[in-house]
Amino acid sequence: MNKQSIQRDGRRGAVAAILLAFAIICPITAYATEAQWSRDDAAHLLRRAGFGGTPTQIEAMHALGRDGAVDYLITGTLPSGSEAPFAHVELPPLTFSLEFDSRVQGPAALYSLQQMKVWWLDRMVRTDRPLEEKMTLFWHGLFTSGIREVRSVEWLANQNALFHREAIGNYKRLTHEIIHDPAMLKYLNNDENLKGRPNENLARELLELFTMGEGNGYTEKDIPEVARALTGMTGRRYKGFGRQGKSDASGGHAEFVQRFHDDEPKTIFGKTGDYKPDDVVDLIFDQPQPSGYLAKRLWQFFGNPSPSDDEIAPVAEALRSGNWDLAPALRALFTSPAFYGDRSKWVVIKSPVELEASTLRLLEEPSQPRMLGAGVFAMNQLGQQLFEPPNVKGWPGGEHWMTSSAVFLRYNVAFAMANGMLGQNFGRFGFGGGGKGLKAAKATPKGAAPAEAAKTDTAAVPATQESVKGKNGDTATVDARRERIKAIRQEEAEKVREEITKLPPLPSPGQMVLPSKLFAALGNDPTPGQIVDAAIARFVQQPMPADKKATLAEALGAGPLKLGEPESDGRVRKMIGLLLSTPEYQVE
Amino acid sequence: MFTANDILFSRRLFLNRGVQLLSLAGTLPLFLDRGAHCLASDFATNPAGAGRPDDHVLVVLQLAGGNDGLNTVIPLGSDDYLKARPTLGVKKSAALRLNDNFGLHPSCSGLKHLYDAGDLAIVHAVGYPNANRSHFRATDIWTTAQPERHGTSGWLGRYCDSACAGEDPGHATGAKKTAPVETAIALDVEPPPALQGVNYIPLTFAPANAQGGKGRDRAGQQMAGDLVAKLNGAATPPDMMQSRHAPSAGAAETEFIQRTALNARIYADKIRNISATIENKASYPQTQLGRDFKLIAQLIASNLPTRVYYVKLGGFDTHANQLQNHPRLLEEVSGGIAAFIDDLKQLGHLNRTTLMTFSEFGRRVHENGSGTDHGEAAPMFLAGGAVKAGLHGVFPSLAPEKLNRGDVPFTTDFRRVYATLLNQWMGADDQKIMGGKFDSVELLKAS
Repeated sequence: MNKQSIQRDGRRGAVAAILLAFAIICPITAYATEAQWSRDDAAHLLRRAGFGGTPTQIEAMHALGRDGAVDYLITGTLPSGSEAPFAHVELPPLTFSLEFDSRVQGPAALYSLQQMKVWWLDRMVRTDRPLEEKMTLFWHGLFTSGIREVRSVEWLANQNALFHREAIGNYKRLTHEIIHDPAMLKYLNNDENLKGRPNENLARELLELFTMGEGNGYTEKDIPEVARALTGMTGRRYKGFGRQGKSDASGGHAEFVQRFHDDEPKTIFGKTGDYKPDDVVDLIFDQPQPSGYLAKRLWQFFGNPSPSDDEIAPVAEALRSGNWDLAPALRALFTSPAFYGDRSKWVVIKSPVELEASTLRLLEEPSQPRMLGAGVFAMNQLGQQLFEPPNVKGWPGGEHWMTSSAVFLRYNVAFAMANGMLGQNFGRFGFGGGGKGLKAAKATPKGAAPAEAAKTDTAAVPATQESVKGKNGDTATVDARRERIKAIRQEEAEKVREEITKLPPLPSPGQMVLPSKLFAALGNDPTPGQIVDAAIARFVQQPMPADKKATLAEALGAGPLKLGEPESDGRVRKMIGLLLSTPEYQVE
Repeated sequence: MFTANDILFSRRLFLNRGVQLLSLAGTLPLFLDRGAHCLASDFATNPAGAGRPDDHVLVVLQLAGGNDGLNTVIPLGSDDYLKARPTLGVKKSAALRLNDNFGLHPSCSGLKHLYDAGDLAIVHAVGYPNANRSHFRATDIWTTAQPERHGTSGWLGRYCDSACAGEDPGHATGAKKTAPVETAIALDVEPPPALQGVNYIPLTFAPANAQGGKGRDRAGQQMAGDLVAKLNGAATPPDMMQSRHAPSAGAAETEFIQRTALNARIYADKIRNISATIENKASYPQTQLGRDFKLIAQLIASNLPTRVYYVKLGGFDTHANQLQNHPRLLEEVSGGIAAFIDDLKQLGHLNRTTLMTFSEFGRRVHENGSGTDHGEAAPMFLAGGAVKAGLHGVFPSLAPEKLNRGDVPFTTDFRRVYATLLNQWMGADDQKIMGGKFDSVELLKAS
């Protein structure tokens, strides 16, 4: 299927989706639960389908009614005369400020990857279309690719652009696109999948993880056949790719190389033919499994970890009848009574990305690159590195986020965010430390012999090592190349340091989190109890036990509170930090 | 692009310079001491620990991604092997000779040393019927030890559930029977599925995190730490905790987090103390695995009643560039294990320690050009003072017509190895944990 016909299909799907939505979902559910739509439901919807809402935003969502609110999140449109919960924001496109060559995986590429992570986190914190970012994150966790294997920041940038384009787009079209995506082709070794020498990696995950589910509707015999049909599909880099500022079109492209393709007949799902890569996707979507598979994944991502068949069915049906469009499926999910029931509320542990993006949103702080840089670094530590999922299955999520090691870090990060210290005390990582950290590979780690640092330095450039060894075994040439690469890396490190010094400095902690702004409704001299209640309502959004409220009030300390005065504000910030360090704040 | 060292290094800095509220846990909350800690109390009444089954320790090393067994333990001079591996095959002259028929990959000099010293056992062609070639399913099978169904608990997690049916004191309901939380410790970011019991959840620490750094404002941190402890239920006895939360949606998740926070505080401090006070006797390679094993040796030599340690190394999914990547991985494994065993020997703890390696599958006999695809059976390594050194089990023919879909057929079921370790090493009811009887393998010296 070519690109044009894919787009045509998508438009047909969109029309069908809209008809379906109005014809089926609205009449059945509108009167049933629309009337019961509570402020709590609106808050729940915002936490799950977005990154949470401030009290004002929750009110505005509630005022839209359930169907209006869901439609606003999916389409961005509002019933006439109603107030938009989120003010419109212009988000900058992704640009890289340094030239870099991914083949030399040095400081400039590392810095560009960090820029890309910061760019995405910034979108999640500021966007007025939070569901779009959430769905982009969903696709990143479903159609996973990681920098360790892909080794190209541009390819991952292009893949992320694809996920943004298809965020609330079309599942089948995205699956077609993904087998033309250079990052994916590299990640799952399809560049090594050649006629006579099939590599099954992409074939297996395409069925197992992307569309059908493990052992669900296919057999072990189908895998090598699908692999053969995918032979010849590979990613190509443009010459001189990775040069300044080119994040979209210049990163390379996919190429179908006929001479690498196995033309012999293949038998897939019991049908035989000379199948090409795109035929495989068409064959898969002719099977009954993909709709149920994606519906379950959507439920698990947005709703609850173990959805029942009854909960999954309407979403799967919306996908099928909507020709794989996401909008009707998401509408079916977010208007389902089960989504607002006890089986779904407060049963999800926030992912590190959700924790940070929602906390920064609720603190209503302007985005600071250094702060976001530290946030990205902290996310890595908490077990969720964007563009680097642990494996092709994506992040396991749920209780796996809350390990005994992660719990410290979560609370420390929460405390830092609430006190305007994210980025202040974080030396080398993120953009905090004036670039010192980028020398980490050369600096001697505490307690380590210099030999260790030297070893680390070479270990940090596996791709370089390979290309050096792979092309020429001659020692003299190898040494010359290694020297050249070392020189490039040193030059890059210098440029990165310059870049970092150009970043705006962080305001002092006292200027960053403003209790007088967060709790304006309470006036200037509220009681400790009022502040604690308002903070719980804003951040935790569910009731807390009396003894914990007493502890929080105790943490505010003695003496009258005057919001806007540094001493009082400092006490309030510390209390918020503690509030964010509770089990109640970790769930949504 | 990002080495483990890079990440660990920065993690350490993160703790040093971060807010680090929780680095200084106070004294143990009272109720923990009162708790039915049978392993701990057993240890208190018999501190020497000699002669009781609780003395024994199992260390598991997972080689994630599917280690190429055929290029780890080499069938010396096998024509079938060399024909299937024209570029990747290790020639007889290059391999580290074990006997006339088998040798180790040249990167495995550490393991060769252990083999010669009588501390290493190798089991040929370990697998199970109808092998699954998916990473995830195969890993599930090896970690749950339940190939026939999709199990949700790990084999060592079930061991912990049954090893000591004390009550987990951190749990609000007090109804869930399992071993004390320190029965198993994993050095990883995520708790390994093998250690997840029906009720048991293992202690999991990223190594550098466990070792941590020193705080700055000790008094301030102590105070803030105390408040966090209160907010996480640590200062409240369990019978009171029960009434603190009315049953509501999500209560189970908040209880879980509360318990995790409490355990994390206590054990991170214990581990940090141990790593600062116990001296290693051997020098370790500067690799992730070297650092992990270094810490585990310290923990074993301490007075922790922990029975199971778990560590994982990834990267074995060598579909491509195997010639470059696989030797490096083998060297990390071999060097790490050799230093660990050497250290334990000098520390006097080798006789109570057994190390076991596993990988979710081996790899295809025929190379694919630059690497190997997912396969089936592969060797397992066991090391320690109690193992019967040498080669065990049957190495199958690699003649093309004898292969299983192009893969090495298994000759020893991995569940037999597990059952042997559970019964003969850990003193546990292997049939209950494994859900059936599996014949033992003669891997351990008679004690």
